Amino acid sequence: MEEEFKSILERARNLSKQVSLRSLSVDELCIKLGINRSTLLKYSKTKRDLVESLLFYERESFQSIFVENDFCDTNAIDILFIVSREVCKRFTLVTPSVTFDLQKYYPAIYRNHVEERSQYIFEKIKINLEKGIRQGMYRSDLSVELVARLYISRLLDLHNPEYFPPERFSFPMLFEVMFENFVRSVATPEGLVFFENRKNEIDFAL
Amino acid sequence: MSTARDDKFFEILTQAKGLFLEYGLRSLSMDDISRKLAISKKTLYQYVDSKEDLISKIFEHSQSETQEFYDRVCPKDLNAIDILLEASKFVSKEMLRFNPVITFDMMKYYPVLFNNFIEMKRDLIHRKIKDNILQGINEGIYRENLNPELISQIYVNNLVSMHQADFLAKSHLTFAMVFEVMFENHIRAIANRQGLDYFESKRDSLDFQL
Repeated sequence: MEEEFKSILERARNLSKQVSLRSLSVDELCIKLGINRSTLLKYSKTKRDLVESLLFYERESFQSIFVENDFCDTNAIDILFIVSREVCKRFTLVTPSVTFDLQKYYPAIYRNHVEERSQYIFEKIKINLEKGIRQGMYRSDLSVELVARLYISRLLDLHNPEYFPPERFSFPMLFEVMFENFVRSVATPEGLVFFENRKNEIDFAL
Repeated sequence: MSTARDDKFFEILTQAKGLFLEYGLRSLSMDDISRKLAISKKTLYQYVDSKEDLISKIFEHSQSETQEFYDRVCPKDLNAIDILLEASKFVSKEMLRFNPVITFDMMKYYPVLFNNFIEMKRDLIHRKIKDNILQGINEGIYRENLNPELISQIYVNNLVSMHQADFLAKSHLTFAMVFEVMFENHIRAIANRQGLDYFESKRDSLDFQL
């Protein structure tokens, strides 16, 4: 992806947090992004294309966490800490209001995005569980497939405002509780001690 | 207050429920039901107006059974984890008989009834789990910093996922397996060290019969 396009997508992401992309005309959008129409057209033929690229970029940005960090010798629980911290730092499109907007106006694109993201996380969680079991951090009697699947279901629920009205539960708070519950539910006594020490050391800064 | 009439009716509801679980909702007629229960159709219609009414009464009955269960268990001198264990045994007995086909049939043929039932059930479980969390915190077996509202919502969501047919279909898992894992993970997620020790001491004696 070209740097210029990345920079446009970055700005579009930030913009989408403040205003519904749907409500802007292409001209208004260009003004807000500080580019001219022909620049935008170079990358996206339509607003739909732009939204699709935006979500693609979002997934790529998530996947880059695993490219940039070499998790080979890292403790499974530490990996979860690192990934969670990065997710909270980087992700802007996961806030419920943006989710809602995309879901409503671009249902097919959004569904595909969720499907691909879930599949990616599912594979990563399975790897993490297997690693944690090998390292003695997680219980050896875990059903990896099932635990990973339950985790994905809960992740998807986070974005459902009917379950978790944003005015009552902030996203970082939901995420932190989910994260902690997940580790506690899979950890061995050693894993639990490790988790509690780490939690005190690291300022989650959510 | 239980009368002979009530007892007879409960018997009908219990047996009809078993039939629905076995044969599905769609294929079973009121004729089939009265024949299988060895009662006349006239007798059956003394209690319910229609098949839909019968299903609705089965739901009500199941809801009051759940409430009775809590009324029976709560006054006993049990700690929060004990209560969860009791509840899980109660639920898993139900679970064994349930399958996604029934859920599918219900959603397709009796959507309003089903939604009301699920709504009521969610509500009840949500409240019970919240009470349970508060009790466990008071007893010093659950972590103090839990958010009862949030945890009980997560718990209910877990239950809801289980009933979504594709969740099970994709993974070749049974209700019972999912429930057991979900339930154990719930306790592990909320217990403090003391609670965890207590759970583990009890876990071996726990036979899910799944």
